[in-house]
Parts: sequence; structure tokens; C-alpha cells
Amino acid sequence: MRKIFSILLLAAVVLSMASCSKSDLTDKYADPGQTTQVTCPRLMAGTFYSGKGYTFNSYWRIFTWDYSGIARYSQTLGFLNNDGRYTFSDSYYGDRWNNFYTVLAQYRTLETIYSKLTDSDKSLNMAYLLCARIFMYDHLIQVADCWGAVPFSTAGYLPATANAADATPAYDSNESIYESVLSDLKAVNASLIQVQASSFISTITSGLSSQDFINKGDLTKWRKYCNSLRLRVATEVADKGSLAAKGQAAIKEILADPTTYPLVESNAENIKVVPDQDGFNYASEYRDGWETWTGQLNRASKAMVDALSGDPRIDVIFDKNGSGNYVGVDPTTDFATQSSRFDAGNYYSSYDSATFSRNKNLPGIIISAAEVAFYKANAYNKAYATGGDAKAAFIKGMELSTEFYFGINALSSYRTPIAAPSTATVDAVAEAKWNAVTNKDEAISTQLWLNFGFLQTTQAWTAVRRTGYPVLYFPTDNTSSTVKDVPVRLRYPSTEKSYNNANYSAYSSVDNFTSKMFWAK
Amino acid sequence: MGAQSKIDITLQDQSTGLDEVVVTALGVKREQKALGYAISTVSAADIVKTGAPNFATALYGKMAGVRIQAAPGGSTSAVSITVRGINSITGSSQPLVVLNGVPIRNGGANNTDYWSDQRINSNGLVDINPEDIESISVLKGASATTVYGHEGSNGVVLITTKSGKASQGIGVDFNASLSADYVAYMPKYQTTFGPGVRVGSRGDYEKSTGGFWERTYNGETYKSLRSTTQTNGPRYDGSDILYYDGTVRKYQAVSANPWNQIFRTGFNQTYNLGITQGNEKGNMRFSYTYVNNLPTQYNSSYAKHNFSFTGAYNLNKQLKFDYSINYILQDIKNRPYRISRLTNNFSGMFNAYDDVAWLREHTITSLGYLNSSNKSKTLTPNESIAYDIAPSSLISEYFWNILAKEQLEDNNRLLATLTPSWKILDGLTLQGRISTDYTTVKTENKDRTENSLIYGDYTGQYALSNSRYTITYGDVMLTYNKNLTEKLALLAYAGWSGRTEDYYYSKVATNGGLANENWFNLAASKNTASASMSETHLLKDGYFATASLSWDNSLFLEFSGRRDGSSTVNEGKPLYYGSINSSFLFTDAFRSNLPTWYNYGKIRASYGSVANSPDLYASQEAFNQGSASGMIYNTTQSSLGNNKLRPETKYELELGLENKFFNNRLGVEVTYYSNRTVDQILKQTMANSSGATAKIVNVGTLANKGLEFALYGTPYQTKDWRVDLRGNFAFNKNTVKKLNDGSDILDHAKIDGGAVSIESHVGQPMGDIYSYAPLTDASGNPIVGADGFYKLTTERVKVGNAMPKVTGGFGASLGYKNFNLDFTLDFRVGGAVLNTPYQYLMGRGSLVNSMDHRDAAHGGLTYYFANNDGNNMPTQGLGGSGIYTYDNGMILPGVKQDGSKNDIMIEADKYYNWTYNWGVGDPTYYSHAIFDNSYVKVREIALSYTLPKKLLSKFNCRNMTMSVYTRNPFYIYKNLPIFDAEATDGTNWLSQSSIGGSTATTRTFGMSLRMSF
Repeated sequence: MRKIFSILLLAAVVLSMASCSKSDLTDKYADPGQTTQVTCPRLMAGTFYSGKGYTFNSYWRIFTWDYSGIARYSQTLGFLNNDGRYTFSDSYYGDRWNNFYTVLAQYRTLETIYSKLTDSDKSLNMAYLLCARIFMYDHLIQVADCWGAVPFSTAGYLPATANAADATPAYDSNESIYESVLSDLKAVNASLIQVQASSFISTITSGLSSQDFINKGDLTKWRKYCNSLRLRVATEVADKGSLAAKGQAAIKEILADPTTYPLVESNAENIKVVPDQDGFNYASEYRDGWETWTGQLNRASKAMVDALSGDPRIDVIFDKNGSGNYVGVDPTTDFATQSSRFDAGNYYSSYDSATFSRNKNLPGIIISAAEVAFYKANAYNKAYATGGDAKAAFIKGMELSTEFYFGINALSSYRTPIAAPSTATVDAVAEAKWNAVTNKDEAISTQLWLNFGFLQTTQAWTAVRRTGYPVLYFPTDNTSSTVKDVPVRLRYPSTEKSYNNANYSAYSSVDNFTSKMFWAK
Repeated sequence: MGAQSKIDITLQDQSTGLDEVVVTALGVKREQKALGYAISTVSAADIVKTGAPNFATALYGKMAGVRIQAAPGGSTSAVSITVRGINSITGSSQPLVVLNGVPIRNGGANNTDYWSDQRINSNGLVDINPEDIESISVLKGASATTVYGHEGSNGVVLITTKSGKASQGIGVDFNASLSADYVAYMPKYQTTFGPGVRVGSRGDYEKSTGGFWERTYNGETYKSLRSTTQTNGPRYDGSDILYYDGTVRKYQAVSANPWNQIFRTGFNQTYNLGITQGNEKGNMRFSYTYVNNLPTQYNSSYAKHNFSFTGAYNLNKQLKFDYSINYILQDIKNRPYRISRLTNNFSGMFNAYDDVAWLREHTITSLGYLNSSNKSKTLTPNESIAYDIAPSSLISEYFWNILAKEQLEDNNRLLATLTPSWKILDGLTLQGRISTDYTTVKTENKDRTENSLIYGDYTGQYALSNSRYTITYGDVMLTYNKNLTEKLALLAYAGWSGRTEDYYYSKVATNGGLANENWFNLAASKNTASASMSETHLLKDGYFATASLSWDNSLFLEFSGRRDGSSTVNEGKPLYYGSINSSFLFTDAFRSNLPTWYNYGKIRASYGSVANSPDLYASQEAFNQGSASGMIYNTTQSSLGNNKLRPETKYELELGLENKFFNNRLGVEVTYYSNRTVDQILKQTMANSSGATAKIVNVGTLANKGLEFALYGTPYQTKDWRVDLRGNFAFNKNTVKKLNDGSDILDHAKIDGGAVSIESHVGQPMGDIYSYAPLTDASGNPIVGADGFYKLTTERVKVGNAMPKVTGGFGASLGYKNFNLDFTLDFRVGGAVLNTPYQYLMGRGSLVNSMDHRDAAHGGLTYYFANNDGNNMPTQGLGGSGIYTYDNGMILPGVKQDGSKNDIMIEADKYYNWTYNWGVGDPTYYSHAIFDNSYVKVREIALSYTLPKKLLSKFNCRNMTMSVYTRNPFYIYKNLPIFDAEATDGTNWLSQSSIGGSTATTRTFGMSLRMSF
């Protein structure tokens, strides 16, 4: 009996020695390819990285977002009058929506991590939070421009909180989004001034420069991005609607005090991302976005060719057709004629291969100096601000835009760059464009739209909807039961209806392609 | 007189059946009669009868409720085993595989799409050498597998390898098997019409010539054919045409079966030498097996060496060591490529017009580059194809990938187990086990440069990957076996088992092409070489205990329990499972009241719980990290983890009845089971505005219930004759009881832009297949619109369900003197599959299946187009002067919208081309490409002859059997068109629910020789 007892005891000892402790199991729970330790700098880089598909000229963006929808709606690209020409796949525009919320989720997580820091760590990390916020606002406004009311103030929190209530965020009205962005960008600028005055500024900028893909740690440039973005938003709401007074006040404030509110004033200061043949790289793939499908995606629109008549920029923006002319797709031509011309392959002009599709250095433009100059021209023209001349700002905008497009053309190694015209030539063209119309808003708005062109189709669509210029012709598509006329907004992705229905329902009555934005003409 | 002799012989036969011993969980041997749950067993002879490439394919139709599905592609393709239907909606459904008491690496092999993985992969169980297997048992229910805890819910396959136990002195076995694989059950192509667009969209030259196309080649004009994969062109008429090889050929079909030129005949050889020795000190068995395959895919090869060394050594009466070493070496050149580029991609769809052999021979130019019709960008313009060919992917994506890309795989696997046991007292044994399952794989990819570097494009690639998978397993177990009283006996065991699995994978590859042509080294990388790695670690452990009581050897009661720990559960939170089962031998208890022919009768009942643990790292809440352009970034998970995730738990009730009659010449077993698996792990879809796309949660409930029947017997037996029959069938009914909160639908997959969706609905079996379909009126007639085509539903409707309803098999063995004929068939009733290649190929008009109404001989009606304008609706009758007449008119059966019988004529080629197309859009629909995949298949037939003992004894030979066999010879019934019913690959049900261009299926003929000395 004693023997049995001792054996059982031995067995018990063996068993207890063999068994795994709780910590053994816990140690192997985590995926060695993931981390639970994150910091503000890396989440800021994560915010930028998440938004790169709609910041760079990616193949995916060009094919799905621009070509299939927005570049048609803004006529920054020629398209044929085929059946279903305005229909836009939910999965395509849904991807743009989803991308913003991925950006927002990174920002919310950054915000959450930041809020838990000590005060001294906060002061060292504040710049990351502010830069990420500016970038996030930029994308938020693009999404609000397309959809109107969107979930924002309670959106994007689920990864940070894992709180079930955050799975279904409420919608913020279109007005409240612009309003809060307008006021908060002012606060961001003020906070950046504070950061610049910090006694640890060299530590902050050296850390920032190693993580900042956009402005390489230049906080002044971030302020220019911030104020220029605020100017963009203010301009958008200043003409009509409940925010007109607030928009006009913001324009006045920014233009009156360039020291406090520096803007992007020269092409050297353009806010952009540059392909660098590394991780943030889109240099090698967007050629396919424009040129595959036997060159179907890069045809000029008649509206752009017309707007560029007599303008030297046409030589770097479009390629000539087979007969040596610039011919864009005319929406008034019937489909059969269009399609036979299209099939001929060399009837319609295409976007310039050297400047765009085969240019491995083509930047992803966020805000350009020309855009800002046209906002100034707009402000002076409408007397939203004083102390400047609308025509002078307009001519400056033309000069900057011309310099900008020839500058991109010069980056290309595909063929010998075309020499830029002299300032005098550009000024003469600008003068002529200014004088050609009695309503100067038309001249300014057309050039703003033209400057956005195919590189910033989303902005071009917002601009043309806001100003009504240039006047674009869109033939009605009677074959479509859902989208007969060119959309003025996008429908919410079906995932909202399915998985955020309670909040979606509040806006389901305006969920169509035809409800105008409050700021639209 | 005849009856008398029969009885005499059967008396001395099968008398041991009553005390059959089977291997149960943890390798514990038990008498079959003591078990309170179902177990199915197959022995060595049945596994090797027809030279099956792995043990699983030898199990087809042999076990009730065990469904096998092998991917096409031969020795290197994965095999899935499904026990009693699917128990997990999104998790693994594969059973745990246990070799000599030790769990081994198995895993799944599912591809998500063509781009992510173009080759058909393997899983771990196919490595195990069938020649070394003594027996296979499958534990099906929760009570049988409770001691395996959260690895047991999909059943457990227990493999016992051969040993030298039975042998006295030295024994030698030698087996050889040779077989040939012929590509079979592939689409057949029509040989009536060649390439061309449908009559309604022909140009003027085509209209005037009946569909030919005019081409200019080297300055001369020829009659030729359009480069289109549509085969609505001119009738083959033997006239002279310019072919794409640049010659003038007679216009006729090249082959109705071009697949014979895509593949070749495969050839397989297997040789096995086994040596056994046994004495009072122990026993040992050494075996070497060599397998060499010439796969049906060109430019590929397969060789396998398998060494097995097992044995037992008795140190003294108390101490004993069992050991087993299995070393497997595999050299694989080019695993089978998927053929989806040829079946699911329009630019790869060849037909009877295409000279596949010529294209194969002209894929690579004499300089070793990829051939094309481009004559300006090549150093060998004379070799270029004369003009663009329609199936361009056949060259550029299929033959080039096969012939000019090599994947060289070097696979080493070591399975070693040492099992010491100490018989402490009579009835008390302490046993330990330590084992490893160690796999290393080295894979080199050498993709040739596609064109001369003169043209400035860098192509080709070199990649090297290495992986190491290690399972280390250990257990200790104390067993107590004692007759407590004269009638009451106890068998109890308790112990602990633990296992770690560690996986490392690294890959380096050239990037941006090879800087030097065909220099297969990382140094040749054009851009900075790419590198990637992954690593996973798993730890599981558990305590288990079982106590079995028996009363008078006729009433048995057993309790089992398990406490589990797993690193896949946060903080290693322990989980508990338990079971109870009982069996009662009523024939023993009531012997005197029962007729003598009722030899054996047992009822059994069991109830238990068991689980399926979360996938590795599925639940962890963490961040991704990466670097881009020198910036280091973190991003949140788009599909969120959940640190509270638990395993899916299955509860199962099982009742069974086992009978043997007439001196055991007839056996009948019936089992009923009903189970419920709760806490199904599902990804709950989130609105993206939340910041995530989904979150993993425990939410669903899935139930399965079914009946299993097994029947076996020897209905006829004389001195010279013997007939053995066995059959089984199993009904399984799967029901989704609960899905996500607030949602009764779960989307598994959307196919072809939403043309088909695979969904699960609460209250239905999993895996409903939905698609758009013709609208029907109240009496079920399809409704035809004004255009003559069917009106379609505006929403997808349920067309089928992917779960098979009944599976089973039937086997017969007919013996006459020394001859034996064995025959096995298996069947499946129900279970829909989506046949996308059928959808697309029917739309091309290239299959024999798409001939109805294509001409007058196939029932086509005569019509013409007003003004010869193909945009007009056809007008019945002859066209008259200058108007072309066609004979492929058809009127779809159905009713018009006003309810009258349809009389609107349409062109047949338009019907095929438009209704069998890709994607969503009237009049295309997929419901006619979704088939109930029921079949009855003759799985194997073997005829063997055993040489007379008298003759053999002269050569000191104990046994010598020669046989000829065939596998997969023919179908008795098959509902799926153009492919084998098992033409899917993948080991999960979702992959298996759509046919999407795996590789070719085959029919095998072979012969074998088995000798024992």
C-alpha cells in the first residue's frame, strides 16, 4: 500500500512539473508580428500611411474613384455618352469612404494615446497630434464635400475603445462639420505657434522630421497647410448658406494677418507627397491607371481643352491627337460618333504622357500655391477681404499654375521637357482670360477648376459645384433607372445602411445622387 | 447438402469478431464491446489495395459519416476529411490526426483566389505512408474525443503503424505498384463551329462568307478566322485558311479534347521493403518506401523516400520502451498549377480550333524567351505567332508558368516518438510519451527572363524560402486496470499532455526582375531584394482522466474529463470538458432468452462536450507595424481582435445499436447523433465609420444531427467461393441556429461582382447559394420578356445549398479460390456547387453542351434579319434574295408576360453568349451554373491473384499476391457537367462549394505485386 501511495505521489509530482504555467500560455498569446506598444510619432505616420491611396495618384484611385466617377462629374476627363455613364459602383466610392474612416481610426487612436500622456510628454508629442489632425481634416472635408452629413464626432473610436457603443457612430450635419473644422484649424495654428515657441523645439522637430512624410518636420509648412486648408473650407462656405458669415470672417482674418496665418504662397511651398521609390511609393504603377485598357482612361474633355485655348499649359497637360490638334471628348456628340472616334485611337487627345502617366516623379498634390492665389482673387473679387487686388491675385495664380505644370513636366525623364513660357507671356494670357468675361468670378473659378484638373479631381468637383463655373454640359442618361443626370452628391455606402442603420436612417431621405449641398450653387 | 457444407465452414470463421480490440483516444486499446460511442476502423489491407497515394484517399466510402474529398493533382494535393458534417461556421472543420498516440501536423490548404496562390498545396496528413499503416480508427462524437479537449470537435483520426509484434523471427515484405494516370472528366469541345462572333454582330465580310475573317499577312490577303474565344464562327468546312502558325491549313477542328495536350499521361511507381523481427525481448520493423511520380502536368516531377523504424524493447518484465521514427524526404518540382487561367478567364479559353500542342511547343522561343505575336520586340521574329491568338493566356500565363518557371521544393519531415512504460504493479502502469514532428521545407522559385534585356524591361524572378515547423509533444499517463470484484472491473487512467508548435518562415526574392538574364540568385535583383518572414508559436496543455466500470463484462459505464489550457485563449484561461457514456451487451445479459443466431447485440449512449479553439492569433488585440520610406508606422487592426474570445464548444448526444447475426456473418450498426456547437467564432461586420471593418466575437450556434448505418456481411461462402459485402450511409442535417446579434444572415462570399453569393441563414443549413434566376409565374413557368430572353429576379434567390445530405459507400469482395475481386463505390446526395467554368465556357459556345439549337441538325429554327441588320429581332423563315438566312433560331420554353406561351424567337448563339456571361446584368444569370453535386462513383476495382502456398513454400515465400487495379474508373451517376464531381480543391467547405479551375482530374490504372518471406 505504501508503495502505491509513493507511486501516486511521484506521479503527482511528475504531472505538476510537466504542466504549463499560466504565464507560459500567456507568453505565446501574442502574435510576434504585431505589437501592443504604440507611440504618437508612429501613429501619426500610420495616419498618413493609411491615407496614402487618396493622397498619391494611385492606380486604384485613378481607376475607381477618378475615372469611374469624380473625373466624369467634374469633366476633368473625357468620357463617352454610353449607357450608365454616371453610375458609380458602391464598392468604388465605398472604398474612398472606408479609407477616410481608416485614417480617422488612426487619428482617434493617436488622440487616445496622447490623452493618457503626462503633461510634459504631451508637450513633446503635441506636434504629432496636430499634424495628424490637419491631415485628417483635409480628408474629412473631402468626404463631407462628396457626401454631406457624415459620421464624425463619434466616429472612428472603436479600435481605440473597443466599446460596443462606438460601433454605430451618429452623423454630423454637413454644416457642423465645416463649422467645427473652421474653428479648430484656427486653434491648431495657434497650438503650432505654441509648439514652435517651445524650449524643446529642436528635439520636437528632429523627432518629427524622421516621421513626417509630408512636410519633413517643417512646422511652418504645417501651419501653411493648416491655414491654406482653412482658407479652402472658408471659401467653400462663404458664398451661401448658414456659414457664409463665418466663412467670410475666416477669410478676412487669414488674409489680414499673414504673419499669424502664413499660407502656401509659392510652388516651393506646395503641400505635396513625392514618390520616392520606397514604401510610400506610387511611381511605377499609375501608368497602368491611365494607359491600360488601350488608353481609354486618359482622354481629354472638351471643357478642359476649351478652357486651355491660347494657354501655353495645354502643351504640358495634353498630348496632341493624330492630326496634331488638341481635341477633347465633346459631350454633345452622340455616342455612336464618339465611340467610332474613340476606337480610332488617335482622334481624341490624351493627358500628356510625359507630365503625367509616365512621370515617375509625379507628385501627389495636397495644396498648391496657385489654388491659394485663386482663393485670394475670389476673396478680393467678392470683397470678403480687403488689402488686395483680385486681378493681380488672379494673374499670380495663372503664373503659379503655369510654373507648377511646367515644373512637373520638367521632372519627367520620358522625353525632353518643354521650356516654360516667360512670365510676360503668361501674364498676357491671364490678362486675356480676365478680360474675356464680365463676371470675374467665372474667370477665377474656371482657372481654379482647371488648376485642380486631373490631379485633384475631388477638389475640381467641389469647385465646380460651388461656383457653377465652368458651365458644363451633361446629357441626360435615360437608360439608367437610378442615375439619369450627373450626380451632385454620392450615396452612402451600403455598409452604412446595413451596419449603422439607426444613424443612417436620420439621413436616408437625402441619400440619393441629387440632393444638393448647402454650399452648392 | 450445400447448406450443410456452408455451416461447417463458417463455424470456424470470424469467431474472434466478438472480442475485437480497437485503438481509442490517447492510444488506449479497448474492446469494441466496451465502448459507449461510435468508432470506425479500417485495416491495412483495405488501405493499400489499389495503391492510393495517401491513406485518406483509401478511406473513400469506407466509414459511415466520414466524408473524404481529395483535391485533384495527385500525391502533392491536400485531402480533406469531414466527420459528421461541418461543426464550425468559419473555423477549421478538419479532424485532429493522431499518429501512434501523438497529434501530428495536418492543417488546411485553401486558396482564396488565383492571384494569392496559383498552385495546389498539400496538407500534413498526405505525408503519412499508407504502406506503414496497420489500422485507422476515426472517433466521431464528442464523448469519444472529450479527452482531446478543444481539438476534438471535428473528430479524431487515429493512425496506428505496423510493428513487428506478430512476427516470429525475421520477416520480409516486398511490395511494388505501378500505375498510370489518364486525364479524365474534363470539358469536351464541339467540333462543328470555329471561332467567330455571333451571327447578329458579324461584319460585312463575315456575313458574306458565313463567318470567316479576312487577314493580311506578309503582304498577302487570306481567308482566316477572327481572334476570339467565342466559337460562333463558320462551320468547319475543310477550306483553306490562314492559321496562326503562319501556314495555310484546312479549316477543321484540331481536337475535341484539347486537355489531352495540356496534360500528359502520368506514371507512378511505389516500392516498399519491410523487415520485421520479433522475439521475447521485443520486436522491430524497418520499412523503406520509394515513390516516384511523373505528374500529368508537364515539366514537373515528384519523388519521395520514406524510412520507418518502429519497435518495442522490453528491458525487463516491468519496463518497456516503444519507439517509432519516421523520416520522409520529398523532392517536388512544380506542384500542380491551377488551370483557372484557362477555365475562369476569357483570354485563356481555348477550344477545338486551337492547336494546343503547337502552342505548347511554341511558348518558349529557341532563345528561351516568351513567345508572342509581337514581331518587333523579339530577337526571333521568324518564330513569332502569325497573329494575335484568342487564348493568349494559355501561352503567357499557363504554359509559360509551367514550362519556364520552376518551383523546386525540398521537403523533410521527421516524426519520432519514444514511449516508455512502467508496469508498477499488476494493473497499474505509468506511461510517458515524448515526440517530435519536425518539418523543414526549402523552396526555390526560378522564373525565366521573358525577353532579351536589350528591350530594357527586366523580368523573371528568383526566390528562396525556408520554413521550419516543429511540434513537440509530451504526455504522462497512469493507468489502473483491476477487477474489483468477480463481476465489477475498473479501468481508469489520468494524465497530462502538452504540446508546442513553432513555425518559422522566411523568404527572400529578387525585386523588379532579374538584372542578368536567368541568373537565379539574389545578386541578380534589379531593385533592392525583398525579404519577408513570419513566425507563429502555439502552446496547449491539458489534464485528462477517464474511469470505466464494467459489470459482468456486459454493462459498461465511462466518465471522462479534461481541463484545457491554450495560448490561443487570452491569459491561458482554463476550460473544462466532460463526457459520460455507457454500453450494454444485451445479448450477453439475456443470452438464454435470445436465439442462437443472434450473436452480438449492444446498445450504447453517450453525451459529452468538446471544443474547437480559436485560430492562432485570431483574438489578439494589437497593432500592425511597418516601415515606409524610412518612416515607422503603426496602424490599427482593420478587423479587430477580441481578448475575450473563447473556443467554440460542442455538446453531443449519441445513441447506437450494434448487432451481429448468423455466426457473425451479418453485422448491422446504427448510430443517431445530435449536436450543438455554441460560441461560434464569427467576424461581426462593422460599419467602417466605426473605424474597423469587423470584430471577431463568439456568437453563433450551429447544430448537426444525423443517422449513420453500417452493414457488413458474408452472404455466400463455400470452399471455393466467398462473397463479402459492406455498405454504409450517413444522413447529416446541418442547421444554423444563431448568427450575429440582430442579424439572421452571414455572408461568406460574393462571386463575380455579386452574381452569386454564398450565405448562411438562421434556421437553414449553412452555405446557401444565391443567384439571380429567371422569374417564374405562379405555376412555375419561366417568364420571357419582349426581347425573347428570360426576365430575371431583381434580388438573388436561393438556388442550392452546399452541404451534402447523404454520403456513403458500398464495397464488395468476391473470392474464388486464389482469385479476389474487390470493388468500392461511394456516393453523395445533395450539396450544391457553383460551376463557374461551365458558365463562362457555355457563353463561349465552345462546349458540346452548348450545341442545342445552334443549327438545324440540333433543332435550330430558320430565320433572317430584316435588312441583314443583326440588331433587328430575327424573323422566322427564309430571307429571300440578298438576305442571309440562319438556322440557329430558338424559342425559350416559358410564358410571355401576358401569360401566353412564348413564341419570340432569338438566336441561339446570342442566348448562350448573353445568358452565360460574367457578372451581374440582365440577361446574364448563374442559376443554370449551380448544380446539385450528387454522384455515385466507382472508386476502385482490384483483381488479385494469390499464388498457391504449396508453390510458394518452395521459394521460402509465405505469400505472393499479384493484382491489377483501377481508381476512379467511371461514374454510375454524376449530375455536375464538364468536370469530375471532386474537381474542387481546398480543405474547407467554402472552397469546395465552387469549381474554379483546380487542376485536371484523372483515371488511374495500375498493377501491384505483394510478397512476404
